[in-house]
Amino acid sequence: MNLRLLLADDHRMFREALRALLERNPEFEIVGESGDGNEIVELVRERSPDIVCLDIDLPGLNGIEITRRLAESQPKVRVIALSVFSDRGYITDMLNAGAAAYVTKAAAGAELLRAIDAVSRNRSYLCPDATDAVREALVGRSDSGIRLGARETEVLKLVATGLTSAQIAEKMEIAQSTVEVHRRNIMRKLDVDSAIGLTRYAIRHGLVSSN
Amino acid sequence: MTGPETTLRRRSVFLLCALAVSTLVVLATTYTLWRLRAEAIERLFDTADMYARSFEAHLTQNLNVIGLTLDRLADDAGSDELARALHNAPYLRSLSRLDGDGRIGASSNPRNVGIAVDRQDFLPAPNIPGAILRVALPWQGRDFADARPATTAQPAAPEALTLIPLLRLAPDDTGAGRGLLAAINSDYFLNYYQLNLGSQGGSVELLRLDGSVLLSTEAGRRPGTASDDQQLAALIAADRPGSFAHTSDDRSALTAFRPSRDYPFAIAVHLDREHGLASWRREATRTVITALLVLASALAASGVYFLRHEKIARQHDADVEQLRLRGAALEAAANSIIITGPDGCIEWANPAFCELSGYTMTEIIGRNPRALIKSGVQDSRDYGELWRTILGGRVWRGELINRRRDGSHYIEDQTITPVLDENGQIRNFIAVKQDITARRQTEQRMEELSRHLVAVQESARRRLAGELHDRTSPNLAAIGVHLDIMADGLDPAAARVLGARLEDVRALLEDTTASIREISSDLRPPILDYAGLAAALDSYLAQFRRRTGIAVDFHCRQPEIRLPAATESVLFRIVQESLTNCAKHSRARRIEVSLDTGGDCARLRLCDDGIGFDPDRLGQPPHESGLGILTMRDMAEFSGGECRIRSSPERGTCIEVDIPLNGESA
Repeated sequence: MNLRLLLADDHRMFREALRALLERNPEFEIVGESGDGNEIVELVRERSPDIVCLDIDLPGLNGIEITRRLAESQPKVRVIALSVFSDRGYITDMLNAGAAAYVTKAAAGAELLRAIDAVSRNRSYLCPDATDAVREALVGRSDSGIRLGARETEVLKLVATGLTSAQIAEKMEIAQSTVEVHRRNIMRKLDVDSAIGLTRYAIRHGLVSSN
Repeated sequence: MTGPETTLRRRSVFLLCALAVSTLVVLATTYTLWRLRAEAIERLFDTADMYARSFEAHLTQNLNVIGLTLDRLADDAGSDELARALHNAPYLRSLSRLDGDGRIGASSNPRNVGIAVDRQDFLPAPNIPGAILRVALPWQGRDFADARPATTAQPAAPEALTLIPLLRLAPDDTGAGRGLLAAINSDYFLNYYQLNLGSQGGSVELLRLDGSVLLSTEAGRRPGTASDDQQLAALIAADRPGSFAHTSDDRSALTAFRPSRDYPFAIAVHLDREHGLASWRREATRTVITALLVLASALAASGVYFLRHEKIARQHDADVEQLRLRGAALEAAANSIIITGPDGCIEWANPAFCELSGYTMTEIIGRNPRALIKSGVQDSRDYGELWRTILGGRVWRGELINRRRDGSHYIEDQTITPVLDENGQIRNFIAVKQDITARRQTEQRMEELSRHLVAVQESARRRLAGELHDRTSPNLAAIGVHLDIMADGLDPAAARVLGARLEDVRALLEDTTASIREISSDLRPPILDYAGLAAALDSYLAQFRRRTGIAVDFHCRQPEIRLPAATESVLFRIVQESLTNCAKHSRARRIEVSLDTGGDCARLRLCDDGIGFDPDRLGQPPHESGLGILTMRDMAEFSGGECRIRSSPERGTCIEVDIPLNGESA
């Protein structure tokens, strides 16, 4: 049985990118899409999707209001919130309104697929950025949910062995500025602000040996 | 009128006065001396006259005695009888009887007998009948026996002993020339005169009425000579007393002349004028010296006084000039200045006040400013406070809204200073005012402009942030999704070549997305509009914590309360600004942020444990951080609130911002 999906986002290019992504999976059926907040509730009633991928920041009714109304009128429809923001305020509001998952658009793609997978099995899901924001308020920072890409892991290893960006760029055959970009991303994801912090993380997670 | 000219004129006047006074004193002294001298001469004349009178009386008395003596003798008396009659009379040398043959028949001095005496020498001449005393020119010698008669041509030697013959013809003589002859002792009279004149410094002459000198106390005067004095001759001729001054080459004398009443003699007393004036001269010298001393002291004293006075006058001139200058400065001052009495009535005002108030000078003098310029819009409590302050002797400074003559209002900044007299009583008030209406308006315009600028900036930020997260972020997200699709769709051979590249692109995308998110969140976090200040601060502080590693605690008891949008913006910006400063300069390890929106004002409090700073040096170079804090303060004040900053070196910094809510929370 196919999973019926409805895409609600006012940004057409992004919507099309999502459709392209989702249509690659034959289990998914896009039953409708819209960029107007005012017609989403009606459209959902009409098409009765299983899951609505809902942008928070829609013209007309915003995503939180829509979620609230859907939770009242069609509680079976699961909502995956999509947003460029990862502020805790949005996340808690959205979850309070009844959303089952929260995925930042920057992580859309793999994260959205994970969210759909979780939601379809009646579970909720928060993408790593959102998890961080919520957890931080509850228990402080943690390493959980950190996902480094293969390139990032490679760069981190090289940084931890004491190589400079220029040496790493040479070794990986990429531009030095690209190495810098990776480094910044890694530091942001690991929430560290120095090469020492990076090294310490690498050692603690067994990426390099301590000697 | 300039100083030096005045001084010159004053000096000339003083010198002229001094000269006039000196001249007067000299003239008065001279006149007095002249009067004294005249009096002294008059006294001298009186003295001479008195001597003359006294000597004449003495002579007449003696001649009377001699006359009586001769009367008692018989015309034919012998030598013994004559000697008895002489009876040692000191004024006589001898008594003799002159017989008709012209020779001495008998005498008290027997040696005189036989001496011839020429009767024609006597005056009055013997041909004039009568038993009167007739006198002849003196004889040089002690008595007739050893003497010779002096003549006008051959007078007696000076200093020589002389006698003066007196003849009384017998009553029955009829031209024979028989009679009694007395030899008068000249020395007796000379002695008497000299004794009486004493040190008077004069001389006495006994003259016969034909002008011949019978005897004289003056050395060198030869008895028998004829007097050569014309004035004396005139008096003798007139046979009356008189006096005159006589000046010869070597001396000047005052002469008193007195003829005998009964005998053909006259007394002339000559007093030396110089000698008589000696006491006057001494007196005059003393007087002149005293007068000169007094005059000199007076001149010196007045000179000193004048110099002192002149110095005071110069000082006074300088003071007047100073006062004039200060007066001119007050007149020219751009600030309006009024001086009132203790009752508040205007005593003086400068043109600037007239210009400001629109009244003319004559309209305001004596009037109370309350009646002139009180606008009526000022709170009466302000006036109460004003009067309490200045009546208490303290300076009041403040702003008042006043009214011009034409009714328009203006704001003035004024300082009222009470002026106390030496008893501490208020004598005047001085009010210095400045019309600050224009400045106020400018300030107001500036404030409006600043507020507008802040609003414009805020709206521009909001628009830019909106643009970034409405378009740029979704675009990047779409690119990301497409990348995922492409990475998925690659065949294994291509994936080996392109996989790593795709992952680099993916990293670039992530980095760009993160920076866009940071920028847009700095510009204007959407959550501020969506969920309010507390939510926005929560996000911002989390991000700050991640970025700087500084621990931040955030407390907000009413996170759900929404504030007016402008207030939320201002408070958010203040947090941003102060945390940025804090991260840059404070070296703080922990920051506490609390927001209290419960009351009628929103209170934001930021405290760090950093190195702090000296608030007094805020905004001074080289502390750039100060500028940020000033901006915060400005922002708080634009919103009608206030921003308090407490800090001291090494003790951390606390910033408290209160913004009133006016009950209109959103």
